[in-house]
Amino acid sequence: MDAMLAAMGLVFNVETLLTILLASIFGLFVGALPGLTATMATALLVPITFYLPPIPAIATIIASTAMAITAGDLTGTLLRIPGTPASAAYVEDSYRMAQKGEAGMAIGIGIIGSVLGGLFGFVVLLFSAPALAKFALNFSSFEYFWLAALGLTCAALISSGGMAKGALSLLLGLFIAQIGVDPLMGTARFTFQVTELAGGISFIPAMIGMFALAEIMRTGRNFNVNVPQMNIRNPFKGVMAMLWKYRKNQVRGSIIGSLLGALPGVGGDLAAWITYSLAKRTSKTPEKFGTGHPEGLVEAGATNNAALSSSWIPAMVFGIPGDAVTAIAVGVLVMKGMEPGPSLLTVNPQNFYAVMLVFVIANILMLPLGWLAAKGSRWIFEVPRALLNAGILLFCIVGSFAINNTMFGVGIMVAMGIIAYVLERYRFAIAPIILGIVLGPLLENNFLTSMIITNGNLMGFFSRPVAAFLGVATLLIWGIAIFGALWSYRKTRLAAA
Amino acid sequence: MPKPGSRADVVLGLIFAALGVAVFTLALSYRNMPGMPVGAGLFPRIVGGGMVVFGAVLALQGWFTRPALVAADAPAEDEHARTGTLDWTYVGLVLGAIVATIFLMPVLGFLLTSFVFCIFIVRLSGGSWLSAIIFSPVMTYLTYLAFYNGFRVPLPRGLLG
Repeated sequence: MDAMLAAMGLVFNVETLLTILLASIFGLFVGALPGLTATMATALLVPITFYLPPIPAIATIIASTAMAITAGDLTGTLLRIPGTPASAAYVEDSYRMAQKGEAGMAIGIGIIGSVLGGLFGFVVLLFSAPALAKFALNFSSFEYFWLAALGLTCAALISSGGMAKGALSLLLGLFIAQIGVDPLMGTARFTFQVTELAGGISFIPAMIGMFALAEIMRTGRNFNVNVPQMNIRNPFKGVMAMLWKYRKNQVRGSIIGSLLGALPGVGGDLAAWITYSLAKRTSKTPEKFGTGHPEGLVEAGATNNAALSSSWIPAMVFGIPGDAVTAIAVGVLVMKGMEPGPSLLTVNPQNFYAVMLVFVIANILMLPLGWLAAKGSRWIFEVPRALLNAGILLFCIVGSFAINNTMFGVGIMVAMGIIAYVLERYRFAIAPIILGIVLGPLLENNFLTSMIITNGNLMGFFSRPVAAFLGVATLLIWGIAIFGALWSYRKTRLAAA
Repeated sequence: MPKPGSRADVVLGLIFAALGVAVFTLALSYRNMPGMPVGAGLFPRIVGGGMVVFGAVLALQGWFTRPALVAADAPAEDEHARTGTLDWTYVGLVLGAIVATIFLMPVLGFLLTSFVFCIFIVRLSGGSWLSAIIFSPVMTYLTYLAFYNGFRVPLPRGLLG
């Protein structure tokens, strides 16, 4: 109790609260710009943290990251440019909702769902941080391999074009992920002596090209921006009723997000895809998914931020960062003398609780800032299409350039845009390609490590209980999908005969 | 380009299968670790093999699916209604403008190239000269301020550098 009171004293002062507010606004701005990521927002804030006391310093990182990731949904909803691989899971629904005049509802579901999911993640973090972190630390390459395989399976099989097309999209993503230097032996693969390809293909220009450029190619001069938007005065009107309608999805998404988010490096990106797939599989109207239906958006949006909160568990409790953002945060903690690890909970518990409180404040701040962003975003539907097309394309170019500061990224964006346009025209899903690019290295690394451990014996992949459970689940999903496809084909042929 | 439906699936299935064969063949040239069953080529071989299998499945599906069955596939109708007809001239000019930007930006710099690019896209998309001339410098400069000054992205300075 004393530690909690001390933590409140550390957080509830003008300096810390003002820092959280400014960092949130900064995160909102960065996250809403295509091509700029939460990692970039965090990295840009590091020099500022030099001059801040420990708690405000870590607060800037937490607040800007949370806001930047949520703000990435704005560009997804308005321009079909998802901010993160996780938000690519539900970008089709949020974008189609905006095109139907429900941009405020889509953004509202994203933001309020994220806040609720984030707060749920906080509660989980508060009570189960050590236990969850211990469980996550027991994961070996076998479990990570199967978890990545399960997520990729979900992404491939939920696509609307059928199993074969979903699998081919996924395989294309995995192939793109292999371009560059291989992780095991340093061999250059599929680079064809092009120097820039040695570094691999980043998912950001790929994502910008496949979603934004392909959309401009598809809509051309007829880009439909003059969509009358509902609830102009209060963009969040009806959001709570919608969230209540899909409360089961909200709760389930938050729980799964909290659990998967605790896995270093893998949880955040995967969790939203798994829950979107789950929402579609358990929905009474699965055919509406991808056409502007809020059900998947509610579940995957909640998952996104719940996973974000719990992704700090391994970083805070054991000092093991799972991704670039938490790595930077761990660096800031060390720099400020708040060594992350078990001692943070035992020796300096007030610091741990202070960080938890920053989570809560950053999440609650999303509501007013998100409301203002949603209200302001209405203007985008009133901009003449010629100007909007020029602005989007300029952002596509600069966003693709910014990732490595070379024009090569712009070339990648163009190539991916063309591929996505052709594939989408023939009902291939684009989202599994993106997830394949993002999770390909993780899948391959853990597959190869496991193969080395078992000396090539595939049965070894089922030798640990959790790995066996995940492996059987993945294979069962594929088995059911193949059987279902064959059964449906047989039924259709019989009906036609 | 093949028409949407089963014929397109045959063509695309075969393209994917051919890509899979190419990936698999190239992957054979990557060596394994000494004394180990794994190497740089193992995962690409699996992915290439998967492309061959699923490409063949897609091609066979397309081959054996009669037109009546394709017509009964309601989501396909919706999807094609959404994708609409491609405006080839527009798309060609947009892609050409981006490719030209890739080559010109390092030489002319971000400000000049983006200004011309914006004017071109606004006019191409049906905007007036007046809106193009007002919008382009403002959009270019705001983008420059945000990315170059704000986020320290070293945009090419070119002639104005």
